Amino acid sequence: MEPIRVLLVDDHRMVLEGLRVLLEPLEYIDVVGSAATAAEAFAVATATRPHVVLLDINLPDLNGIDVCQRLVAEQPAIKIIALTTLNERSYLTRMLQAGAVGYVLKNALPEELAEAITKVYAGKKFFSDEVQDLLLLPDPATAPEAAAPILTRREKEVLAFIADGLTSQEMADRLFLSPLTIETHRRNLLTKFDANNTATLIKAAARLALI
Amino acid sequence: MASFRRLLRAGCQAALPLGLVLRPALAPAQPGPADTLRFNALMVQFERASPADTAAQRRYLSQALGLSRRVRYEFGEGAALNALSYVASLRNDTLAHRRLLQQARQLLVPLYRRHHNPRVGQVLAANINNQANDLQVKGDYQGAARAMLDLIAYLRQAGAHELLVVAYYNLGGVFFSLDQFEQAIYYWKQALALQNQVRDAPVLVVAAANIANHYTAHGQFAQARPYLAQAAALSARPPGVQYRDQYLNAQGKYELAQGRPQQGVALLEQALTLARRRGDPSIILAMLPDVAEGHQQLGHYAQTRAYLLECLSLTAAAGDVDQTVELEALAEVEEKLGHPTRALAYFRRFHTLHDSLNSLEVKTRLNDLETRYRTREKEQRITLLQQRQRLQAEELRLQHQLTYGAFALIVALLGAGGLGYAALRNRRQLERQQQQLQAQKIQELEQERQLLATEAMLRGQEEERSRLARDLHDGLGGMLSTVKLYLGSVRGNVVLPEASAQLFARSLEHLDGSISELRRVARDMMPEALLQFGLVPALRDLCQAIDAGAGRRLGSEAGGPRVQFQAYGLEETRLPQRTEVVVYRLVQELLNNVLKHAQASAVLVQLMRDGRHIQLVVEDDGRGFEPTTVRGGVGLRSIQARVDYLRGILDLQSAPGQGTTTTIDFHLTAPEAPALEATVRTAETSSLV
Repeated sequence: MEPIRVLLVDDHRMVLEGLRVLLEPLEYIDVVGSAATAAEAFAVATATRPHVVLLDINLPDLNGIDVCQRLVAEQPAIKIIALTTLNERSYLTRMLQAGAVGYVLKNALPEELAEAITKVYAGKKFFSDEVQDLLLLPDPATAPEAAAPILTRREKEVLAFIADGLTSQEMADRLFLSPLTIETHRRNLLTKFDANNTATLIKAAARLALI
Repeated sequence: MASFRRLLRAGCQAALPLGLVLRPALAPAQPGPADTLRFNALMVQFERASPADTAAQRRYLSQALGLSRRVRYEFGEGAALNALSYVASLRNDTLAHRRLLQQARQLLVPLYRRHHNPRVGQVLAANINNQANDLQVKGDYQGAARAMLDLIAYLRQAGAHELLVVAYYNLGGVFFSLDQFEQAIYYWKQALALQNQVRDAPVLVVAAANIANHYTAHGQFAQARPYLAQAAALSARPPGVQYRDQYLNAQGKYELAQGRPQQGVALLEQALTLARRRGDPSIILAMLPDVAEGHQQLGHYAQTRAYLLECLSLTAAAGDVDQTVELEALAEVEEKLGHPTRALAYFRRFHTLHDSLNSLEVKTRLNDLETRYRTREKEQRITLLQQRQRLQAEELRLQHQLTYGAFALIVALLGAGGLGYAALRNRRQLERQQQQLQAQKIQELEQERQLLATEAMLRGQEEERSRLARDLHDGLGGMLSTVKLYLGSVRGNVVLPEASAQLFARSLEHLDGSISELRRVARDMMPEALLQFGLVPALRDLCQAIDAGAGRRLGSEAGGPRVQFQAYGLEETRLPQRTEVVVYRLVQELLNNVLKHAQASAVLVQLMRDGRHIQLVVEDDGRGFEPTTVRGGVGLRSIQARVDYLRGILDLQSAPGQGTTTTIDFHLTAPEAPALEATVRTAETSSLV
């Protein structure tokens, strides 16, 4: 069986060296090259046609997300594993969107790394355990539209007053606020319920049993 | 008839000798009481000395001066110098008078600036007044007016209304001599406006009469009337009664102008009688033309002639060369009386004089110039004497010749000076406004400077953090990860004794812990996501990282609150990077406070954008606090500093047991300018419940 051709991309020579030392003894892996910058990575990738790229997200000249996107565009068959210390959802989702198929944290053990390489080579995905935790969470970016919006205490008060048919001035008097502030709350409520007017707002709030 | 009117001018100014010479006030206590007593005693002796005995006065004052200098009593020194200058003026020693005045002023002005002592103010006022008189005598009306304006400022500060009235009156006179009637009237009216605050101000009669005369001469009778009434009332009793003649004269002129010569002449005759009793020739001279004119209107040509002849002789006595008006009037009267030969003689004299003088305007200017010339000449001579130069006589002759050339120049300068006056008062007012504006500007600049300093500090801090975070993350983090890789690869290759194997495993765990701790520290310092993807994803990451709800769903049992984040109107937008960092830090700090103090079970972080208005709300359901007691902690102060940087408004609402809501409002500036501007949100009343 042909060994898996692996390209290492990391701006720290020490990390590159460590990875190489760990991976070289494995007979089913062939480290075909290493690069410390994005530019180097593109050049080496074109020259060596690797199967798998271990890609650090933080590179000095270009960020890993863009590098990933371009590598995938140039060689659609290439499998990219993000190798990073950034355990954050925003990076994870963006790397996946950019075409990465694995996400491994840098504190991984050697066997985890080897497993990741073989898995993605086989067409599967691989994520470190901690990363999988992140994936299990609902995506908050899409959550608010689905569920009821969360209201601040003041907004709840204002909503109740709106439902009671009070004017802004009356609310301002009761809450010891300026009418301008009340207007801001009212506008925020319309935004949160995606309503154009008070009637739609009341209807939406009633549907969500908020009043 | 108009020819008589021209003479009115001379009268007004001559009505009062310009400027009362103000005597210096007595000393306030300052140095040792014994010295003060001695000083006061000397000053009293000076006051009591006969005005004629200038030698005695000088002796006392010299002693007072010596004493003040010995004990470094600045006020005493100034007051003594001032009094000495007054004595010098009594001896007609103009040079010493000026020198002493100046010396006194150099002492008094800084002293007054330092202490604003009203007594110092009074002495200073006397000093400036005497200087103004001196300048006027020299014909330097410009300088006199400037000095008087200065004087008025001091008197107003000192609240010396009696002196203020005199000063206003005198200033009016100066402007009158400069043909600036508007200004003259303005200051006379200022003097009159003070009449209720002063008891002893006879000059007010003259001021009112002068104003009335001005209006009468310009046919503004309705405006003249109230001033006539004032002059009448003021001169009906002492002390104004001493200037009753001025009122009668003004009233007479008014009647004459109104076409009632009978009443007018009667009043003018009365005025003249009173003036003769006072015996001031300049005032008599000022009144004669009016009486003459009145008699002429009534057809009493004999009386007219008599008065005109008196006029002629008085002007000659006063050294006034311009007798054209009298001569012309006399020619007319003689003709009426049927003496054509005499009429012709007067007419010839009139023409000769008229030709040589060209016009009255030229004449007054010439008078002014002559006074100036004489003053200059005198000063020149004094200098020369002091230098004991032998070429004295020759120099003087040279100077004489040069001065003719200077005449033309001075005429031009006079014109310019006149224009300058009109602007003088305006300019003072403008200057005052400008000073206020400047003070305001300085304050604004100071605030701006502080804000910039804070901005620079925050920026520097962020840059430093960003650099540190990267170093930690990439450098140290990378190395630790590599070490872990190495150790991990060793683990399977060697056989360790039980205890060592456990130790090895624990080391790996600790290494893991260290790596994630380092990751956390680096992220807190500068979240990569914030710079890369913007505020909303970074805040979402941040909230998720501490959200216990997320932890619970994953099975871990964290004790912290549930943290929810929502953003509206910002998904696709990147704000200016510095703004994003500041807002991120604000959320970090606010969440930190919640975790540390609030014991909350739920936290809401909300970011809303509406056009350029951005609102951040962090709200918890924790135990809250009494807002009045917590103000100004370190955490709050750094939050306030960041809000100031955004030029936003921070609103903190809390009460014990009621949770806490922090609202921050700010406005984004135009997209090309990354700086931010303040919101104009009205501050909310403290409904802290």
